[in-house]
Amino acid sequence: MTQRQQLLHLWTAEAALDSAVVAWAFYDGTDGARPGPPSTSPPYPTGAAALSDGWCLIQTTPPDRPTGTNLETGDLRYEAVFERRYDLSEVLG
Amino acid sequence: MRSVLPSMRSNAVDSQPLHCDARLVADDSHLLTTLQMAQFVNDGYLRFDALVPEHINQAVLAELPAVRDNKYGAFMGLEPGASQPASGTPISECYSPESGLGQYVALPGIQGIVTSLTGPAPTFDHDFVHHLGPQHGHRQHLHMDAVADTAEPAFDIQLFYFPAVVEPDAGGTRFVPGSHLRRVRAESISRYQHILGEEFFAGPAGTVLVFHHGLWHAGQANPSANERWLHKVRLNPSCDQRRQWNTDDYDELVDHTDHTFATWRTDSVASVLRKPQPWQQGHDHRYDLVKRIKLWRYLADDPTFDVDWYLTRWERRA
Repeated sequence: MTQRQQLLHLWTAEAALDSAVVAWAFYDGTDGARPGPPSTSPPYPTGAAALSDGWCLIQTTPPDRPTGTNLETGDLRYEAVFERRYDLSEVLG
Repeated sequence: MRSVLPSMRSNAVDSQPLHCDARLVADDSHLLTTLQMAQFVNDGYLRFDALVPEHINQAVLAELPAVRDNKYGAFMGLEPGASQPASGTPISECYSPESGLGQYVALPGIQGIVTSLTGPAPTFDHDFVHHLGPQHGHRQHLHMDAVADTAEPAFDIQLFYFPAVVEPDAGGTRFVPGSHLRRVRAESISRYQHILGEEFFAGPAGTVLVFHHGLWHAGQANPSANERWLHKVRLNPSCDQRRQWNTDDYDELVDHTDHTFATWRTDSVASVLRKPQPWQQGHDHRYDLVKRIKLWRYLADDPTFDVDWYLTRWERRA
């Protein structure tokens, strides 16, 4: 079996997976042999909506640790990484 | 072609201390307003469409290929140091007054913008020419230009000058309004392929975008049939950066009781600063707001300024 992976990164407004998607990125290991996420902006309104469309969550952001610098801002805080795997044996041989 | 560099070039880093150059002080009529300054603090940039007249745009377009070649040649080690203004030079001495670039930086409108944001007589950090021919596929990841920086509120500005029209299908500079105060590594934000509210520059010839040095941005591919030119210059404040704009209306626009959960105004500095970007939703927006409040306190030299009492409630505790 020749497997290829699609990865979808969604950054949400809050830690809850059903909060709004504010940024996203897509990497296609099938090089277009299989459809990607919807081309809407954003592709899904929430992270939970991606689950409903067949994406499998493989990583999410751990809880924040309260610190003296909790008002500092930096990278988008709440990242959820999803995957879909496809068998491309018929395509790739 | 005549050189765009002045015949007597300053070498300020070695020979001159940083100083205020009275030759580049805008008159009040071209200084920014208080609400324009608030917009800059909120968004991290200001945009001025067709600010540069067409005859200067044409002169600059004639000069930029040579400037580009000199820049790239020096960058590649072919002609080290060839024909570049020296870092630390007062901006008023970087380009020959009669050259297109010299006329551009001397425009009263440009002087007003620069003076308002950096204080008078900022010094030249560096410039660069970004040129992409038709159907050129080069694109940058999202990044910001302050790879190593401090937590100080003082900032540099970068003028992004487009001497030729950039059509909506020409892949103009991508940038993320409101991203300028986030403390990130330049390479870390490359992961964001799309962010709600991001913009792609398109606009008429002579348009100037003025960026806070921390604003996230990226050059995009040029799928159009036209050349795309951008002259970028980074400027450092050389003297006090505070209250350099036209502050005549300041007291009318700042109200220390302005609080969105009590009594609030829709015409004040606070009303501009509390406007979130599309990617700043929910509670996370309030952390960004606190950063803006701190920057405004610095710029306005107003240590009790606040929006919605986020800092005041700490500071009033016994």
